[in-house]
Amino acid sequence: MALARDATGSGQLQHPRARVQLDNPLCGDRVIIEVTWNDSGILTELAHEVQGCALCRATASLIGRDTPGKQLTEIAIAQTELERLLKEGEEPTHHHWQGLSVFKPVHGHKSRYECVLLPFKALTQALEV
Amino acid sequence: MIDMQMTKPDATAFNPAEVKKQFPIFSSHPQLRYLDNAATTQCPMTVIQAVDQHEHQSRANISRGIYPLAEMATEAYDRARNTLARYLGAQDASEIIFTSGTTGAINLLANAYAADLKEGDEILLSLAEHHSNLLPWQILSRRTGIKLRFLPLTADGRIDMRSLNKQVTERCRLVAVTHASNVTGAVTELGPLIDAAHSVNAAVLLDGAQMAQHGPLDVNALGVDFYALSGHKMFGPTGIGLLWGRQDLLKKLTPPFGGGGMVHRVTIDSFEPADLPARLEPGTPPITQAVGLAAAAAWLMDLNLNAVESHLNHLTGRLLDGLNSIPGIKLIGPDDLYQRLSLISLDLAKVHPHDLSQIFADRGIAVRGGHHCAEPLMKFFGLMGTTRASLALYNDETDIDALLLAIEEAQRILI
Repeated sequence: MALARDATGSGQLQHPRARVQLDNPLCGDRVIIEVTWNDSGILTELAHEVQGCALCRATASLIGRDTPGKQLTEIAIAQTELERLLKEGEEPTHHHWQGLSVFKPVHGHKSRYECVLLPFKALTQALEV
Repeated sequence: MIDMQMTKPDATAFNPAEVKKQFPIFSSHPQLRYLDNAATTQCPMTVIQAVDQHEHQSRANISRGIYPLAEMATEAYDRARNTLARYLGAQDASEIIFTSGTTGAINLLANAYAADLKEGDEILLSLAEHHSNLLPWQILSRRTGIKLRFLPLTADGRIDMRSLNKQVTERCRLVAVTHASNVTGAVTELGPLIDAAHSVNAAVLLDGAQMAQHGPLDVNALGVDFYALSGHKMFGPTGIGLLWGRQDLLKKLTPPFGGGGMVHRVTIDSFEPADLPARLEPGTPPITQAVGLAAAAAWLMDLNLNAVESHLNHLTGRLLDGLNSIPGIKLIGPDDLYQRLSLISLDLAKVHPHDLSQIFADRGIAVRGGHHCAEPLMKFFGLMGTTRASLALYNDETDIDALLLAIEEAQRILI
């Protein structure tokens, strides 16, 4: 709840290099991610707008806190780590993504996985644009 | 259905605790407070036994085999159709077309109608429809160029009949609306709708998914032309439902799907469809599920339904009173007991329906949070979703009180 309330990174960018909107068809939640990155493949700015549940807002907040300054390749690892945490209950192994452990209680609640993953999926799509 | 204008029956004639014992799910999950009955009702033992017995003793394909087992299966399937015909008050069992559910039934009708519609023909829906009674018609519209019209809603989500005469035009071929909303619980006022539709020779389809669990119907007294329902929402198995239609109208439908069992004669160039109901049921039907659905219908017909209605009326009133006393709650739909079902949607300020549902789930309370497959209705209310509690006859006051307490706890945790 604290992470969701923080809403770190909430807002819009003035000149995003990519912008992706993703909806969760099951509940109607909506995430918009805007990002910029430099030629060295480092994410420089990120902003998000979330109409969603606490889990969705918490993930967006974590992304807003932990992804700026990271290499795009490292960010791709984060989604894999998160999916493994949710589906298998395995703790994140990469040192950048220990913070994902906050979502461990969601493991076993299959209907909530998409709530947690939606912001990451939007981010991954944005970085592929 | 609840209607405060009706004479109040004797609530003491119904004992929910005794009825609840007939549902094994509550033995498996003693702490469960199941309030998601608009999505799926639980199965009483008699339904489970009927399915089990059919699989143990009568499993075979129907209508073709001449050995005794095949004849037993065929008889069981035919008996199921007869039982459902009685449940709906159909004039003939051949008016019952088994489908996979309400969605399957409406898609069947939409596809069958396709052959007889011309560009510019119109189908009238409402803004309160479940996606199952919207998307099939959208798909049909794309295929045929027909126009979809929509009846507006009143502020509390009832279908607003004031524009009926304007919306039902000479080009209207079908009016397809919900019998009762899966979001608001509002029961549709049928009289004016049916009169308007029939005045231009348009047929009327009711989506009865929510209504069917509330006891036998009389489709002829209702005056409708088609009726769709799902087994899993009326204490029966999943994977089974039906389309009822007036025989003269069903006979005119061009079978939209082909396969075994639905033909009189086949050549390499063409085929001659069988009579009703087989012409609209290609392939091996859901035999076991139909047997289970018939057991559910028979079980419902044996209940004291006036007493059940009184019980649900009492619980719904208790829930409405409780919700109205909690600050920050907004009821989505009618806030009284007039012409509504025992399901209530709510919006708790600043709390996402999934978060509220999660708090409930952690306390053993099963509800549904989300858009309930009714996105246009959510848009009408300006919401992403609601939290919905839907009651059935095995619920009691402790379920209601637990839900109300959990809402107050959720407010402390989430706001």
